[in-house]
Amino acid sequence: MPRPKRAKHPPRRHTDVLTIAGGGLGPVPACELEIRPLTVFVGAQGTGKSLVAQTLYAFEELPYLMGSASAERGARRKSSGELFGSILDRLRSTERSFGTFANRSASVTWQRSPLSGEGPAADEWPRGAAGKLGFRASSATGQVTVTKPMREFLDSLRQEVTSRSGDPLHHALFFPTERMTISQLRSAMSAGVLALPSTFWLFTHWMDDHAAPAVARWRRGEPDTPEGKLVEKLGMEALRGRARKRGEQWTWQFQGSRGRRQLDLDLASSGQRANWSLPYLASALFSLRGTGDIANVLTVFVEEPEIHLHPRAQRKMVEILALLVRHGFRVVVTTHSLTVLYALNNLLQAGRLGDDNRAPELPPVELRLRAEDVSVYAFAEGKAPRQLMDVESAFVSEAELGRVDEELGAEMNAVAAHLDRAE
Amino acid sequence: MFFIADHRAPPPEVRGRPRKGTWLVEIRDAKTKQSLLVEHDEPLDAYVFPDPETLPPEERGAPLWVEGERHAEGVLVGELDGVSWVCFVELKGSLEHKVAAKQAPAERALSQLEGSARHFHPAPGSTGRVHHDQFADGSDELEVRPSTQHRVVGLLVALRRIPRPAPRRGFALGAVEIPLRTVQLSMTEPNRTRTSFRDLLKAAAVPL
Repeated sequence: MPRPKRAKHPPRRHTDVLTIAGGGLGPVPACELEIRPLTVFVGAQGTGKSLVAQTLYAFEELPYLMGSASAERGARRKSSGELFGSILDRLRSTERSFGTFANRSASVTWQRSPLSGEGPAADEWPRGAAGKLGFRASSATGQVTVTKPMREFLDSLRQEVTSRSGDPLHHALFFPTERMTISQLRSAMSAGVLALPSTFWLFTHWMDDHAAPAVARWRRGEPDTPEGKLVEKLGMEALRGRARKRGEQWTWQFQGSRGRRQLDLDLASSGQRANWSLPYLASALFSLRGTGDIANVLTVFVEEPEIHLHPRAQRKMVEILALLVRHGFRVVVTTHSLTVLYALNNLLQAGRLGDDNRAPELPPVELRLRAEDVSVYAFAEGKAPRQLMDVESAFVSEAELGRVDEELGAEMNAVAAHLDRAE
Repeated sequence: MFFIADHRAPPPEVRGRPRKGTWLVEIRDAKTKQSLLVEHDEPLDAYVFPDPETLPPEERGAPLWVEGERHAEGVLVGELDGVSWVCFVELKGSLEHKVAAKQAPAERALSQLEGSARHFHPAPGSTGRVHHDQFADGSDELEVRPSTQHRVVGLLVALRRIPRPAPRRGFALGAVEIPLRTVQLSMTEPNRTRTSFRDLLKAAAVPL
């Protein structure tokens, strides 16, 4: 049987490489990870998925993080390496230094492949960084020391920040699992009674300062992006409502029988509260693209897009992420959900069909994924993450997350066999 | 004549060779491309049944297979801990019952497994008797020959989520109760799953 015609996807985009060497980082031993436009981390609790995602985020969002760290009080007395160390410390916890995650001594390097200029316009990030950027972390001292190219790059970033007015552009956005509590915790933060990982407050500020005005403009039709409309439709299907910002307050507008009733966002369901920000942010990104308000190559990190969601809604969340990837954004996801993998596999298999095949029972062309654009790693304690994506067959092995279902099925069969004998 | 030995499953389509001292067989549905790879550390063989519903009469193996006779995708023949097993296998992607007017896929699959077991049951004057006579006189020579005390089971292998509790039943053939069980195995490749013979029988919770 002839192989199906390849889909006419956007041109191939770059693959970055994150390398962990030495004793490894936390439960993750030495390894090399290919970070493609869509990268998914799966694995049991405590296997290092979030730690790797946060480390990757620190590299990708370096201009912004370095900019805000340089503007802090007392920053002038610190070296660029020390500032970077404090950025890493705050990503994870306010009480534990990042260096303690190193197994004795670990080195981490990140190399962005040269941007091809295809897809969204290349913006030469990281500017002026020759070769790999990297750092070493030591558990003995708890300290982080940066490599020479990294130090030179950080110095140049600091210079740029001090000689320019306004915030640096965001190159990455991180959706932490704490996103559910955005409205409750914001007030505690402003009262200075709560210290949270930097990923959380950066995310909160981005939603307030960038996403909310962009979505408000977009809903008035400025600009009128078809991708934004599709995102809003998928978001409504998933969450049965949508978020709005009115003044300083986030509200939730229910869909369906409750009409256009609006309530404080804190009164929405747990799934709605945990996930409204993803379709909201995606609409904002499509609206902001090309305006100069965000970097041309922007990575969205999402921790567990499935939290508190019905499987049908989880599927829609994957479709929103796929839409972002199809349109040149980069996405890094951690997940425990088999439904997420099922949805991903359907979009990957549909990606093998030509774009001309638009049968209604198939996933829409705008959501189909290309296997070369996807990396899926299985994390297990003490083992190097294993690539689950088979590019040739465009299929992610479901066995890693499906094992529990298999075990439950086998257990149910065993219970039934015993019941037979008991009757 | 129709010989099962003529329908030995083709070699598995896998990269690389199986580990030394292991057997790897594949039951593959040519129409749906669904496949079950089974490995075992004792001799194991697989046979894929021709489909009497789709093949022309001269290729059906008539009179042993008759038109409309329901049967499974194939059969695994092997030994486990000194017990000889004959496992009829039916593969399904999903067991979701989409069209209420039609028979539920699980129910249909279980009846296919039952049909296979009945077909081979050696009641006097039956097609099963002819098969067993052919096995006994060596005219239908199987690579792995079940012992006279072999056990029979029908396994419906689902490749994605299944209804819970998993569809199951049993039926009597002569004095023997034949269990029909559903097991769910996750896909490792598109439409393909892989397991060991021991794990397959264990998942079905048939007494080993």
